[in-house]
Amino acid sequence: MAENITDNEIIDRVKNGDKNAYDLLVLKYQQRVVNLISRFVKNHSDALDVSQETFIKAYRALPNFRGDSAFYTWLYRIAVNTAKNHLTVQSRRFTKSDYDVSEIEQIDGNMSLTEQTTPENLLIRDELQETVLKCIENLPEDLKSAIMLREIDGLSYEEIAVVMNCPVGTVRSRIFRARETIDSKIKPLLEN
Amino acid sequence: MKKQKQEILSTLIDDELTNNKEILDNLISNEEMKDTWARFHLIGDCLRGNLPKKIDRNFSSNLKKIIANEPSLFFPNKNYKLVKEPIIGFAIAASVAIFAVLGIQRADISPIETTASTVHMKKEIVDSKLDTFSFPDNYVAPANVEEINEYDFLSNQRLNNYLINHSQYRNDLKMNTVLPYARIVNIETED
Repeated sequence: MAENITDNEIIDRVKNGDKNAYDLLVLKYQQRVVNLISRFVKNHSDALDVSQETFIKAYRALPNFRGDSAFYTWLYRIAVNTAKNHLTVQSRRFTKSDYDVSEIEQIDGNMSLTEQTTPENLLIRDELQETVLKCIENLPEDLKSAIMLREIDGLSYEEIAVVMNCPVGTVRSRIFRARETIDSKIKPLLEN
Repeated sequence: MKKQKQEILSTLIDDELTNNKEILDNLISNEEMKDTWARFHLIGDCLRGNLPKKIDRNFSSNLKKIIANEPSLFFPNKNYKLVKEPIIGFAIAASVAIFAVLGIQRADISPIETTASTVHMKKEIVDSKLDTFSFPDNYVAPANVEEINEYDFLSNQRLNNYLINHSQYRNDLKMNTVLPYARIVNIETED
């Protein structure tokens, strides 16, 4: 799998004590993980907390990651297990007639994203999606085809070059120009 | 320059770079490049329909603060073990071989008093003690058996003692390795 090369290099850096490198994995996979967990945990704040827990668990377990599977496959399993555990704990909590005070204190003492997430930090997916799709529609045909073949069909540069009958360097340049154009539209949305 | 870097970053995102080291170094230390990395991935997630209903802009920065309080990981590459193990094994084997050779070579400097009976066995004794082995009646000893001189005898004796000691030492330590085992017997004929 092609995407393993960069991931594995980042993981090697984290394993060698570079915590900042882990940030790259979080930035890369955060949306996929939150989206996955949201299928299990309906409450958005809870989904964010479980996602956060997933990334922390993954960080702690990273020394055990041998690279036999893709990093996301491994992270996916952690995310699903963490979400299921969350649901189990939740269901037990709701069936309890009375709460242990120390347990409540412990829950409250945990650092939670729920407390730090304010409505203004939340960007609505539909707004972002609409901007991106509108931008894609307005792209020149060669840029649009290149970015779609890459992002949706998952083709390599070499395969896209064959499909589009152009050199690999041209494919690289077209994909970058497409991303650059879309980026210029979404950047203000994310910064506001 | 900035565009050139961003194009390299775009290629890195697609895993189409042959040398990632330099760009990864830049990416880890440069917040602006990290933001671009995040947005380029966000575009991909958006096109593939991987976005959650709401996107928390502070998710990664909040998580970064928590990870900062975690202990750093430092685990040597797993290849380290694979490479080092044979080297250590080879070093031990080489040391044993050197000790054996030096031990034999020093035999002439400080010969060890030995009783000939422990090594020299008469043909009749050999015949009587070993059921599995006996010389035929018309046995003629090969010339080299008689030609063993005092020096060879002492060397063999030392090597034999060394191997026996080593074998006992190995058993004491419960080592599971297979080590060479040699038995040296000199036969004295009465012709």
